[in-house]
Amino acid sequence: MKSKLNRSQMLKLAKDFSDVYYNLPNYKADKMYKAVMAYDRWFIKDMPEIAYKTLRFKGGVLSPLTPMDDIQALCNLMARKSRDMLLPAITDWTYDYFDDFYRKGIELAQLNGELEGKTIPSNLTKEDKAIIEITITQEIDVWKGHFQKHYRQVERELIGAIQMGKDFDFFLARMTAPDAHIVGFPYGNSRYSWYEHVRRYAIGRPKMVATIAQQRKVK
Amino acid sequence: MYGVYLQPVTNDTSFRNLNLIGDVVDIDDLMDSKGGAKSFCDGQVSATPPRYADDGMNMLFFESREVAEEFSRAIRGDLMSRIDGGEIIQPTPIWGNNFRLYADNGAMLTAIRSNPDIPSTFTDSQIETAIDDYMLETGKYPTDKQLVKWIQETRNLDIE
Repeated sequence: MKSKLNRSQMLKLAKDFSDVYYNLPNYKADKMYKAVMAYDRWFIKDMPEIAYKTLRFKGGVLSPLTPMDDIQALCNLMARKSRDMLLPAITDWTYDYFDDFYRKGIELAQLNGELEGKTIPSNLTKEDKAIIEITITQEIDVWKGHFQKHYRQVERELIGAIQMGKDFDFFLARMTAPDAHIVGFPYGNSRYSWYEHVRRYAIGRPKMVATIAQQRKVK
Repeated sequence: MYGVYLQPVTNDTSFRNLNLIGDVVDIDDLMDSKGGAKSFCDGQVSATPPRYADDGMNMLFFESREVAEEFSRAIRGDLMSRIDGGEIIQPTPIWGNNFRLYADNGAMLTAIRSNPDIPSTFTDSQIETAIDDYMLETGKYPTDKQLVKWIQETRNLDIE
């Protein structure tokens, strides 16, 4: 099968496609960033007070005599706080905008489809609506998993500090990412902050959801 | 289904992405190889962009490999003329000097497929990746004999 388009027509479509893709609206993610900042503030200002009451110290360093139940309760508190502060803003953003991202993907599919002579209607079908719904559900479930990873991260760093005979500041330093925000959970060998995870979500998902629609419709 | 990588190129576009533009990939192979998404948030397997949050790469999808390759040649040819014409300041991509050959790997795939030294489980995508690697190392499009030798030397064919 050969395309019915000539080279300049193809290049024109490539440009139109890129214009839509790279001009995907800048959906406001302010609420998500504010939620991250609130957790950062709680972690730096309020959490240490609770930790100093919960953990045992000897000569200024963390003592291994703190009962494990207390360590886990403290780590649970951090994970629960992160979830309670971040998840509502993330859920709202996901529900508010994924439908728009998908519709933009149909525009992309229409331009993409022209290269093979396909005409793609712009309406949302029953199946499209179901795809949007399951995509939203999956994303929120993935975020719930992220907060469990945060539990593992704080527990790992706190126990590491105890094992090495370090003070609490060492734990706080380990929980601070290179961008000066509080670490959410690592990815690969990098300690990514919650801020960075949210930034990637806000920048990446419009394009990713649009591409889901594009790929489905072009098929 | 086939995908073709596309990104508007500026002087700031990374060399990695420059080399990827116009690459024709089999989506099933891409999914099998995790689609280059190993570094994507939460390790999700996604053949679709963005493989990284803001690397700017996008993809168009085609049912016909022939049309995908036509499109690839169009955008690579356009990109080379813009680089050669000085409109954008970028080094020549690895496929640059050979882009006509490179964009039409059909003959090479057939040659490699029919070579008894390469197992049938070695996918088209893996052959194309080997061509990329060869060109990155030598700056030249390989002959089929050179590519078979390169694959034998650089790949663990028992595993792949």
